Amino acid sequence: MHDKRGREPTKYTTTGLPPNPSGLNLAASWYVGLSSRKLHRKPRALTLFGRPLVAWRDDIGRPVVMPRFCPHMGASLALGKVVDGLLTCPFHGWRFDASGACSAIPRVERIPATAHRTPYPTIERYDHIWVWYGSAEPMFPLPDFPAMEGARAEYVGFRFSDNTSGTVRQLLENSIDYFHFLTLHGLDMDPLHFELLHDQAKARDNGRTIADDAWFGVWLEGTLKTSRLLTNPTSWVRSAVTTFGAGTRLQLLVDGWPGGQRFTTYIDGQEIWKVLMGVTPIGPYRTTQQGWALVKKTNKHWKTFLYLMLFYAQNRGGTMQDIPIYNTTATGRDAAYVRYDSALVKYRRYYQSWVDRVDPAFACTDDADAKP
Amino acid sequence: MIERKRPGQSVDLGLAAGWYIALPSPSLGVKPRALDLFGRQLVGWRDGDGRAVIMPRYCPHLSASLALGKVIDGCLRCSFHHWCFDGTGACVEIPGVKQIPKSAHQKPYPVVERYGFVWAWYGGAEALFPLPDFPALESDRDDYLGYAFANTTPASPRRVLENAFDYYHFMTLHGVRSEESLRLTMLTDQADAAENGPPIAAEAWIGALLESRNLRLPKALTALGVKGKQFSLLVDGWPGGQRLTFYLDGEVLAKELLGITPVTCGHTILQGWSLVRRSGRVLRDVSTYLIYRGQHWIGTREDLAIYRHATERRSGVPVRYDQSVLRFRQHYQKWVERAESVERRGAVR
Repeated sequence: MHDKRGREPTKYTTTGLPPNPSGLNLAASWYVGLSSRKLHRKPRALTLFGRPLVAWRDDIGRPVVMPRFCPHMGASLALGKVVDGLLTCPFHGWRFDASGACSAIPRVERIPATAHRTPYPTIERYDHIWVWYGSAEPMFPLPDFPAMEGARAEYVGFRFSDNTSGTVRQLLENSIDYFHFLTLHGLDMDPLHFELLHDQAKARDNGRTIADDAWFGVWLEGTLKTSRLLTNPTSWVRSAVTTFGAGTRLQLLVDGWPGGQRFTTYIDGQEIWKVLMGVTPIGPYRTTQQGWALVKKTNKHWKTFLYLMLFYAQNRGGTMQDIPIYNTTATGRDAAYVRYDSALVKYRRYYQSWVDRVDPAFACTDDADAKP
Repeated sequence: MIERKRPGQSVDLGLAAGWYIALPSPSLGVKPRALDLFGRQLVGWRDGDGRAVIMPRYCPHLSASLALGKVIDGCLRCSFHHWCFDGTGACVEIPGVKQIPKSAHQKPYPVVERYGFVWAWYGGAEALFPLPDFPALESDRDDYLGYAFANTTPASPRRVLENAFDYYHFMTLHGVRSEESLRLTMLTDQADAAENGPPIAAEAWIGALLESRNLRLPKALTALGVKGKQFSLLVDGWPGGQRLTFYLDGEVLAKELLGITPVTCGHTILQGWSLVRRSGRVLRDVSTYLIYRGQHWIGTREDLAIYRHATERRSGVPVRYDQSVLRFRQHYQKWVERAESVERRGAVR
């Protein structure tokens, strides 16, 4: 459908189309807060969404993420202790429960109505604490990823985590921008077919359905041009790493929600790997890409191990090409969209609609490392 | 100092239209490089003929940095989607797309490579005058022993350039002693500045002659055998740079070409060449060269210390001996306004 020869005239305009916004520009969504293993009995300072927060666990081990500073005199609650399931400020001993309400002030009977820190909705999954941003209550549940849950035994994998000064949207739109696979990553695919998915049934392999308006999915498939090891070794290695030497027909399913994505890849119709990608928005231009990469086990151990190694090389190699682009891209300017950007434009509109859904009372300002 | 901004944020430096040093020629090789200049994010690269090209850094497509790109067949290729730009900044190829969008164009800056530097014109798409000549670095190069210098300062380009017209500071800051105070004459005829080089476009030109009589040289210098009663300095230039000739007792002692690299707000590089006139006697030339270089080094440190701690916000209280500085500022301001009007017309780069 979209080959390199381009048969139709390009339609483009720079007006009315989404630009590349500056600042945090964060969609209402679920984000990766921190690793479960980093949060024990002690409260912990955390910066997310450009805001100073504190994370702690109540008496039944539930994670709580809320603004870091005590409403009394602004001391950091991260210096506090959890006593009887209540976070206790070290300064004057004010105590907060998991709902963020101040439940006790030593020597004071009447607790001021303002003595309250609104916590963020959280959920602990995939060994991480996910945090909802944008409203008091989540607008949709955190999408699931069976390969990390029920079907975990069928996969082996690795975690990845990459810091960048790119924006959250940049990390997410990268998989929608299929043309960069050909240019930046040098995947030579012909013919190439890319489509925007309209039916979640087509994304079933990634996991259960996501709330319809929060869902976005694409499908890419193509046949890799094969080259001989001796005549074009770089291209040969690249395609071997991409397809694990298991075939030439590559299919990629991507779907997700405004803050993360699920990927499944098939070679010659056989599923070979999956990825769950989340994002940690620390502040404007301080973003961490979080990922869980999984290779489907094969019937032979050595083969599974080889696939795992090849996938690691592919994943790290690709990221090493993407990150410098993320880190140096300018924001706050128009884009000159061309024919192959139509899905990207749709993605940007969809993303922006979720930025617009952020409740103004929960929106962050852009003064990143804002001291209290 | 201003806070470091995210790539893509331009700062208006209030610069005069003129020729500025972008970077030393050897620093621009085959690989494109990110260049911060004029408070803007630019990319420098060389086309197929080795010509230097300076243009906005971000690809018009999705704003990736072209400094990550490669030069292939004389065209700069963006690494992200392989859009290719030629030496005129036009996008000449977009893989997978036949018709190239009109907005896919990066306006390059007028560039000239001379005196070992890549010079870029600020203030519109066309240079309003050619880069001035400096024969001491070209046709008369053999008559001089030279060295290149480069210093970084938070001062604005104007502060660096007006320094030569502020004759009073030679006495107070640099300790030039003479029985009579120095005298500065603003020049009105370019023929009086012929020693610096051929005339500069009349509108862009400003010049002055600084003279002292009955100079009292420091003992350290007289002990080294330096003699001299009369010192003068001929300075002329354009809104972005200067040519200087130093005379001792009517003889040319040294020359200097001063160029400015306005990186961003609070970050300026002053760089150029110092050239000491050869007399034909090797020993004497070497000692003159070393003494000149030493006093230049000390003098520059004295100026830089002032620049480092000065504020750019106050307009200042001028007194009688500041006439020439005020004249320079008027001249400079005229070219700031010219730059503003053309840059505004040329829209955002």
